[in-house]
Amino acid sequence: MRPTKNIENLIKNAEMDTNVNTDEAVLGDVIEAFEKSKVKKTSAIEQNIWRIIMKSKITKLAAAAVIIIACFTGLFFWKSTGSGIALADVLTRIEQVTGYMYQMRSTITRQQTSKDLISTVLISQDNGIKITTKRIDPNNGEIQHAETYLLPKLNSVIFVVHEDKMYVRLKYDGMKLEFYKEEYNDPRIIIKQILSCDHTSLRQSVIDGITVEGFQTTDSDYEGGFMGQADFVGEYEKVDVKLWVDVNTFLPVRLEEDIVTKKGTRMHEVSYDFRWNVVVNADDFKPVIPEDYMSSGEIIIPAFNEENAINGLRLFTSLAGDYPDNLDTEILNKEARKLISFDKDSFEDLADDEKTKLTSELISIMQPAFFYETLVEENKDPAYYGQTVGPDDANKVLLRWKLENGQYRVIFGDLSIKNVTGEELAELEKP
Amino acid sequence: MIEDKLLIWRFKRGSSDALCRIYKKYKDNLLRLASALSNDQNAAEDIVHDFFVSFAQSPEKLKLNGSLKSYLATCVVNRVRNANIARQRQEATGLDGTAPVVSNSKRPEQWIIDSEQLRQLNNALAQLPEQQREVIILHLQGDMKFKAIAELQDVSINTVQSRYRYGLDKLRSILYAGGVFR
Repeated sequence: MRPTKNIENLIKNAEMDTNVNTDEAVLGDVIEAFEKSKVKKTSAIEQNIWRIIMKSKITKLAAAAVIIIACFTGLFFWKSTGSGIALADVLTRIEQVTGYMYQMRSTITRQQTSKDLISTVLISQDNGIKITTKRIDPNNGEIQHAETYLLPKLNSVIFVVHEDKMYVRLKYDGMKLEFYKEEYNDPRIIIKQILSCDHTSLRQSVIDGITVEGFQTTDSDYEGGFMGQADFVGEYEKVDVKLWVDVNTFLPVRLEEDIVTKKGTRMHEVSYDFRWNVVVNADDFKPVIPEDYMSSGEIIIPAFNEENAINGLRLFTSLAGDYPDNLDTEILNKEARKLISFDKDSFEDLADDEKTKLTSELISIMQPAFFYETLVEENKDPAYYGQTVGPDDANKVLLRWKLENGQYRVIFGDLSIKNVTGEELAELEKP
Repeated sequence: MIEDKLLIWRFKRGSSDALCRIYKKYKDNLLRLASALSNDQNAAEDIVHDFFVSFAQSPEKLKLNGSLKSYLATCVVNRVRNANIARQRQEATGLDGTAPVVSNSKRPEQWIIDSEQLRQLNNALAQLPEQQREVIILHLQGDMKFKAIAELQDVSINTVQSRYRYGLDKLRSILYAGGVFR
């Protein structure tokens, strides 16, 4: 070895021991200084931001704009029953409409409390979707609640919460809202969805002087409605959905949804007063945000894919030492909040870019749950074993799902990835 | 390093566990660095102690451009520089009652357990011009790149590399003369 290298190694590797007692004493001083400097926390901001990110209808937007679209695709989850109207005709008709609007009245009852909302939904093929929501207060009548803007051209969703005087700007990174719009317009996909639901004909009836034909499903696989809120309250236990279509125009007249989830939440929603081919002004889709409203910063929503899910799992295990037991969004949300020690007080004082960074980090931790949810929605036979598999379990299956070629994609405990056959998977999953 | 990023992230959000981990991970390195730069064990201990206390008090000020290790090394080297300047000033003025340059924290025992090898090395390093010593220590013990050291010393990267080369040459002579190498 060259003399210079000898000296470099000597300096680099010079070992030094420290007195353990003094180590502890100094660390004690350091921690004491740290604890004293901490700011006491309150819950106000956390509640606000998390209500927006994880609790409100915007959350389903975080599970992709497809959910808002699902509200409309829900209208088409029917096939011809041999009566006068074929679903394909309804679909074709709606595709021809460049702009339309309707009213929606929703009641969500949960743990003996209920919330009533009235929404006006405006849809434009060119500009996107705008939803204006009012809350019905038993004492004060209708209260301006919120506005939601789905803006495919900007790849953004903006949520203005009037009651809290704040707004949230979601930016989709790595997935195009347009993609979902196209998907919603793709008859093949719609028909696939329709075929997955059992349904019956309700024969003809008259609504507001219009002759309509009805369709009904009680299939618990139904996935539409409630602007995605249903998704956050768990699986459906009872479903009763009725769609009434104008026999002359083949356009929907009324949609009634009554759903009870396994967690006991009941949702009742009626969409009515459909107005077709309305004149849409582009300015209607420019969010109006009063000056005194607080921004939550721009929240980046990464694509719900394998890579981001793995990063989320890695992040979680780095913070918690193990993987989350469960990928249920609500449960993971609670755990993530605990882990991150969300600084509620200081959030309000953060600059917009800091807020963006913070909320994006939180969403990163939630990625495995969003990805898993996507796998469930796509019927990819996912399974997650976080309760029994840890970061050292290099040969144990942590998360797996089925690929289109019939093989399974497996993420192991050490977060390595491999494609395996069904037989190999069965062997890997043996207890 | 991803672990460091996570530690910083957690530390900035109030995690004392993360602070503990940062302390345990880097205290030895910082003590060695401060000890080599100041060639004064007591001063080195006080500097590192005071640095960690100050670090813990203001996590919000922590803004990293490079690695955590480099950041910590830079903080400590700045404190050593300040301590050295204060000490030189104190020696020059000959004032007995001058306030100490670092805190008089009371610890039960000495922190650094000295070794013959470390003492020899520090003595040899102490014979180098301060700027050369700093470059060598920051590069080899602080894992800092020449570019970062150049910024810290406010000189060109060529100057830093020259200081490093000349410093090592001189150190080699000292260590060979002292019989550390044969």
